[in-house]
Amino acid sequence: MTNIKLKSSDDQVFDVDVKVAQCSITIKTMLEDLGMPEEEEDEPIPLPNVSGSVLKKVLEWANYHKDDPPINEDENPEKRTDDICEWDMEFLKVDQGTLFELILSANYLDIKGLLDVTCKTVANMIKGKTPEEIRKTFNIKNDFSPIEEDQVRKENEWCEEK
Amino acid sequence: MAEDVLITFLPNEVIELILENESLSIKDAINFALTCKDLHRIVLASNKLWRAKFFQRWHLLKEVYIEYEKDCKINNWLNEIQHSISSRKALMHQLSLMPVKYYKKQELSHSEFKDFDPLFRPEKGAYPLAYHFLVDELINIIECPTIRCNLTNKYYAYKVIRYIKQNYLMDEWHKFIKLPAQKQLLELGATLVAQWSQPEIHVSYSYISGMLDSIVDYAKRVLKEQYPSHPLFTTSPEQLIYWKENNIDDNQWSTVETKQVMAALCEVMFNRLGFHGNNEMYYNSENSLINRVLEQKHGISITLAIVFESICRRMGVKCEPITFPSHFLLQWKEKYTNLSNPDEVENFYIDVFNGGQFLTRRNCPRLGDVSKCPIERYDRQNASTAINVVGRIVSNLEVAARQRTQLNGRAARLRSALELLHMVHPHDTVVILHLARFYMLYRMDLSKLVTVLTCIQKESELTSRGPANHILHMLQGYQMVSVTEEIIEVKKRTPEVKYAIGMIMKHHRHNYMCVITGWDLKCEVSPEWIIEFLGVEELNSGSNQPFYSVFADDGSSQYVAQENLVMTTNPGWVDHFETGRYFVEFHGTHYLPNNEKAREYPEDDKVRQKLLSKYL
Repeated sequence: MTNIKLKSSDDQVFDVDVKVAQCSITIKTMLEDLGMPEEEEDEPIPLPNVSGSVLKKVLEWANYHKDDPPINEDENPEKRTDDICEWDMEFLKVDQGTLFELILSANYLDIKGLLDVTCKTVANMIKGKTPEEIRKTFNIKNDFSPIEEDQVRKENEWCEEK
Repeated sequence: MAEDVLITFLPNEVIELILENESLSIKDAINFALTCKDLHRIVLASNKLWRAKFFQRWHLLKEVYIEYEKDCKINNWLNEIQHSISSRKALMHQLSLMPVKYYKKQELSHSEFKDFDPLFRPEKGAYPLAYHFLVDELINIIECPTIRCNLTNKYYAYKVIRYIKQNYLMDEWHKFIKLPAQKQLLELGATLVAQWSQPEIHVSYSYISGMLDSIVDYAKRVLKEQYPSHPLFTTSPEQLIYWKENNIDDNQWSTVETKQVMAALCEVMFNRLGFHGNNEMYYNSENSLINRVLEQKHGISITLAIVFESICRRMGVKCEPITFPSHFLLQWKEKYTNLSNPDEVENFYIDVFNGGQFLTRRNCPRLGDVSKCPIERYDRQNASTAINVVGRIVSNLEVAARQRTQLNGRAARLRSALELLHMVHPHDTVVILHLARFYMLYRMDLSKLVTVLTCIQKESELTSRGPANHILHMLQGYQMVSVTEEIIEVKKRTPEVKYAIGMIMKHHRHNYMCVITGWDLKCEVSPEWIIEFLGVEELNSGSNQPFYSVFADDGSSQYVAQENLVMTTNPGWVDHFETGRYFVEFHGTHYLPNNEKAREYPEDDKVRQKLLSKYL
């Protein structure tokens, strides 16, 4: 078992099993381009877009899922939203800021499984809500003037199917 | 630090990814877009997102769009979604108007659907793909599970889908007959027939072609086991596609190699997959429908022959359909082109109805009810064209539809078959006569037939001028009953009437289950009918008792004396094509009348509730 070192934006260094680190396609590609580190004293791989606290979370997720079968996109590209497993559900009981940071990291590190499950979590928070409820949920500032808002609402009335 | 990160910080592609999630509806995505200006801009501009949403919502339209996008790329999927939704809304509106207008009619004329034309015909202003939106929506309505769905909507949805699909298929047929002979594939013609006859389901050509391809693959595996070096295995993919899409004028292999292919195919089709002629139910319509034949692996000679020919052709072997009176065979010849002496090439018939036996003049068994061997008598038959073969299938469908073994939906099937026959043989006055009789029986619009007949009459070259003239005379004086003139009469109950509309009953002597659709205070049919069919003299109370109109679960409609009906302890679904005309929902213990029925029998609701609460 080979380990590599990853360095977060706030200079925390993590010693990680290569197999876990390679859940990230970004890291996997980097390793392929740079060659595997051979000596212990090799420089850690810098990840300037990920903070230590988030990287810790990401690695925790990757460690749990390291033996998952790869997601086959060709098989059923439309249906990649299987229900969230119980472990992930527990794992994602975090504040919204952390959830979005996880999404940003998963996107940057190219970890498809984590990106899917976090996006699905956000989707579940949107589902069935009115615009006003969505604003409240995500603390979005309404920058439409009342007249504008009325106009965009009218423009989009077609989506009421009944 | 984490608290500072808001959803608006996420890059556009991540926002798209979140909204693409299947659990979010189109409306959810729009609601999300309405929260602020930035998100509004990002979300509405995402073509990728709306494409995904479109197919999540209407996945069956994927095939249509793959075809459409070959010529015309869709740049604005949001616009596509809007058109799809607005077409469907307009459809539902028109559909909701039908029960009031057509409550009293069983079969509706084409002219009575004219309000639907602007919804699906591009030349009347419909969106180019609106036809597919409507078909998709109507199939959704029709496929909705029986329990607690709107039966009246379903009933009219079937009528509308039949109208719009047959309209569309008429154009497809005219395209088909204009194709060069090389492109008139038998399986394509057979698919058109299947689509026409089963408007309520999706039967796409790619579905049929796909099933044929999988039999080809199987036959190739068997061929490979026996003859691994057969030249078929080194044939280029382009060539294989060409055979799939074109009729070929000769076998592509030597005689020996050709026979190897045919032997492998016979082994697969008749032994391993078990395709066989359906002797027991020869006159069932399903045997004439290529999708059903491929699914159930049985059919009649003609449909089995089409399957066999299309597979042979995909493997570079030519055979020709030959029509015999009351039988249908495929002929295979060693060689078809550049013959110095046509008599010298080896040839035989393939009897697909009987396990693919190869017949020559010597070993032909006597087939069916033909007293002499058909080959003996008609040895010089020419190959039939695809158009003739379609004509033959459609004639079989008409015969099948006339059978009284399957009463449920018989009228609709017969009408479909006759109209199809009329499309294939537009100048055949016998067909027109049958159709005219049908239309008159159901008080329908004859004006289109009159136009066709008038044209035939003026055409000096057509031998059918005389008969056309006769039929025109017969039709004079007939007038279509316009439905708006009919007023629904309200039925007042008397204490003698025991049961009520929508109750599920048993016939006390014949034991069938049925649902009450109407009643009269006493027998309201003519005296001849009373004696001839109803056996009124055997009844204890004779004709002077309430009589009920009922739909029976064998698909028939009956008129029954009150003393012959009993309430049933285990009521159930009555399988009858017309239930939706009078009922809106099935409630397990009874059927709930639709508005029109309830208006006709306003006092029945209370009586039914009272009886059911006491009894069940």
